Amino acid sequence: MLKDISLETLNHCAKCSTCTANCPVAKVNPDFPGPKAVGPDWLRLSLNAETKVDYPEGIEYCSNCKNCEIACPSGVPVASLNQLTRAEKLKKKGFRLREKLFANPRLLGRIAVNFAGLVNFFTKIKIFRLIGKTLFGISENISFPAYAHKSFSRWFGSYRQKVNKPKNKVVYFPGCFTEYNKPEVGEALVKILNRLNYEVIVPEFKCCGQPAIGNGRLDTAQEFAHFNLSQLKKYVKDGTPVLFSCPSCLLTFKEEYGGLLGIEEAREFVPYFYEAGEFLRGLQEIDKLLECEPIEGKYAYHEPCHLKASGVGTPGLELLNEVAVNKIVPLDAGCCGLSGSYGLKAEKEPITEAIGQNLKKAIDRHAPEALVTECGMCGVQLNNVSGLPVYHPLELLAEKITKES
Amino acid sequence: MYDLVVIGAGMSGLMAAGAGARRQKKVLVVAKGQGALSLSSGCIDFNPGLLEREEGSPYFKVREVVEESFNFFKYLVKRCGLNYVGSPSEQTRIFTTLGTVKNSCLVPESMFLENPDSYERIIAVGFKGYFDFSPKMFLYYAKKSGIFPGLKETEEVYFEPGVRTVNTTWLAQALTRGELKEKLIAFLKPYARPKTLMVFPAVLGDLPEDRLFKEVEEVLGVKVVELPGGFPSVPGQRLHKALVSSLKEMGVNFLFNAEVIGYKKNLRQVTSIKIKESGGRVREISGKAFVLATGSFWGKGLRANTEEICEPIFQSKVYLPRNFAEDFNFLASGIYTDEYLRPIKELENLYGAGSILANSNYLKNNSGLGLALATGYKAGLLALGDGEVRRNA
Ligand SMILES: Cc1cc2nc3c(=O)[nH]c(=O)nc-3n(C[C@H](O)[C@H](O)[C@H](O)COP(=O)(O)OP(=O)(O)OC[C@H]3O[C@@H](n4cnc5c(N)ncnc54)[C@H](O)[C@@H]3O)c2cc1C
Ligand code: SF4
Ligand code: SF4
Repeated sequence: MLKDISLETLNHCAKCSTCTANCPVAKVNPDFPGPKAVGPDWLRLSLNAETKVDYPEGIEYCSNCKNCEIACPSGVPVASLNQLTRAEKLKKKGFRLREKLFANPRLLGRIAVNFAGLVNFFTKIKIFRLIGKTLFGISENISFPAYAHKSFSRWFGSYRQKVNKPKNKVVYFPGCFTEYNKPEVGEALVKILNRLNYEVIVPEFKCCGQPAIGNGRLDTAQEFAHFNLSQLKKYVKDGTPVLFSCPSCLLTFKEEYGGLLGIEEAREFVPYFYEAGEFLRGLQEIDKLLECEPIEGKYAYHEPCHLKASGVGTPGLELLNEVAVNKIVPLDAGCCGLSGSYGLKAEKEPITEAIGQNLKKAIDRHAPEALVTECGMCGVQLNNVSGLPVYHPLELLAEKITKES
Repeated sequence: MYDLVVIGAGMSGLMAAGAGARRQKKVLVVAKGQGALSLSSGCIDFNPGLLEREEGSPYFKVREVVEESFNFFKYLVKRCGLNYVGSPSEQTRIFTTLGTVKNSCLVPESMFLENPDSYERIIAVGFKGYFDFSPKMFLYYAKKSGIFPGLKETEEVYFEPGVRTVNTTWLAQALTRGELKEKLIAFLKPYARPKTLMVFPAVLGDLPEDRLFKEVEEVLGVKVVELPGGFPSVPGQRLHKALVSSLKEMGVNFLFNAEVIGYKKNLRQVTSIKIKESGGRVREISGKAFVLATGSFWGKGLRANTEEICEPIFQSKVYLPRNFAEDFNFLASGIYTDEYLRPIKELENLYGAGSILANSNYLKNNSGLGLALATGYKAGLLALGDGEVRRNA
């Protein structure tokens, strides 16, 4: 696990409260004391046997959105510190079935994708949601992401990539959301890459582990991490880039494997990890493709917290702006509030709803026709608060640049 | 390839980016963490009289853009619904939570009090469970200050927000939401009379566009003033948010959570900067010109160890004030620059701005954010090769 929890890390904390001022949860939930209090402040006490106190109250409310860490002027890994303490506390209390289920989206996804119509139907019916809430503590009102009828890997398995020789290769990690809920995103990426003469390889993967971290199951996350890294080893050794279309998967591979989960070896993989838009933007050949038919319409963009935390900027937005007639409006409304499976839990529902108000306000102000964001779960929340269609930048790009001229 | 790459998202970096965006240039701002800007009171201190007394002050290099940059700043934040009052040639008096009077320059509309002598009653509004503001202390010092000659009556009142512990940002957000807002207004109603001033800690809404102070004024027919003080600073956060949002809307690109750790050059030009992202990945970002706006000690633009003070990215030469350890003199430390704000002779497209510049001690010149604002804006113009600016300099 995270090695750098030492007094030294904590001594970097200047107690300025910038982290707490930027925590979307502390802003709407008075029962969460905020990152400074449950993080550095609590750890200072707990590292000393004489002042050791019980686990901080309210730490369960942390959503691992990383805004505290992004804002901290002193480089304290506040969010990771909180995940460690939270996981320890949850473990001690014992996990509910709900945490076990949410920790691995593949369990549900694999089944649901075969009965998508049925599952999507049931998750919309009030009485079933009520049962879910009473028995499992699952939110009654927040929309569940709809499942696709055909998983990404099923599509990919039967898709014939059209690439000329000599060709380049990239590995793609689709992530659970693309795999089970929105395969269109992966399809878009594959088609764009093919146009650029890249062949796409999709090895067998497990979930990235972010949902497991979010549900306090760090052991499970580590297990996934080891499996995923071993699958990537041979490609990375040859210098093959690994692409992610989901910001949370990217952040997990890039930051959490080597940081929070303490897998030393993961650091060596980091130079090969790219956000998909970032990779595309870096290719010279893309310029020609961007001279395509322009994207019309009024779109607004939501920046996912985990994309921001990855430190890659907003390459998807930059690419879109190259081809959009109207500049894409940045919503800049902060965290969406859903934070993966966080908002699907009954006790977190009011928090998610309250945080989402800022998004709603920003969307109302700009009145776009549709929304754009990289994160699937942010997309679910964007749709919840606005009713508007939501696209991944790759989907909009692919529609234009893979059009046969 | 960016026309302008700005390192640092404090006041100076954001204004440099603004200067670029205004000229439709492709601009990127890279930042690791929020600097002093969001911790500040939100009031833009600026005092030319004191600046002129500071030998070698960067003020002398930016005088001619002060007016323009201040106007542009007001325009930027106003786009997000945050209004600022004041002008660079005047001092504006505001009150703090301690009841003391502070001279600043541009202040948020919510802190501005035009004619203190016209009020006969002050109601100081505190919140139960919130300890960063003591209405009692405020009134004690405000009465002593002599600024309210017409004062006949004061009262301290405490609103009950209904939670056990009150965190500043929660309070600021909660007060703008339906029920609590209604409750607050109903609670204050009995105290609303003519010639009444109601003072609050600066928690009346967390977003730049929240105008709760105006709403209370309009509904109750009293004057409302917010008082800065304490951490976290809601007005500092609002200011930061307004600038960033406004620049994003103008097309500026932002790269957060990435630390600049070095650079590459070719002949006499910086060609790219090296950044370290999450997970430790290092990559390069190229640009035509660069602005170094990484702040002073707090912002991490200057680092001190036991032997020396250094500027870690470009290793610019750093000025060390005499009697360093005394009387906050160390705050004047910073990088030397030429008349065009360039720190290194051999790097012609690199410009410095903000509190990283030598001879700007914000505790002594009372011009922290104001000087960052003007130097940032000018550095942005110079970096874009604005010929006229260069001739005037
Ligand atoms: C606590 C406090 C309160 C203050 N209150 C006031 C006030 O009320 N009014 C006033 O006028 N002045 C005030 N001042 C002074 C004023 O805030 C500063 O002078 C001014 O903000 C400096 O602006 P800046 O842009 O130079 O630096 P900063 O605002 O500190 O910004 C520096 C930026 O650079 C980034 N950065 C640094 N190194 C790197 C790197 N290697 N890679 C990437 N990014 C980097 C930082 O993360 C940050 O975004 C205050 C100062 C402090 C410390
Ligand atoms: S922002 Fe960083 S330095 Fe400030 S209190 Fe939080 S952890 Fe400490
Ligand atoms: S990770 Fe997000 S929710 Fe958790 S403390 Fe940090 S800012 Fe708050």
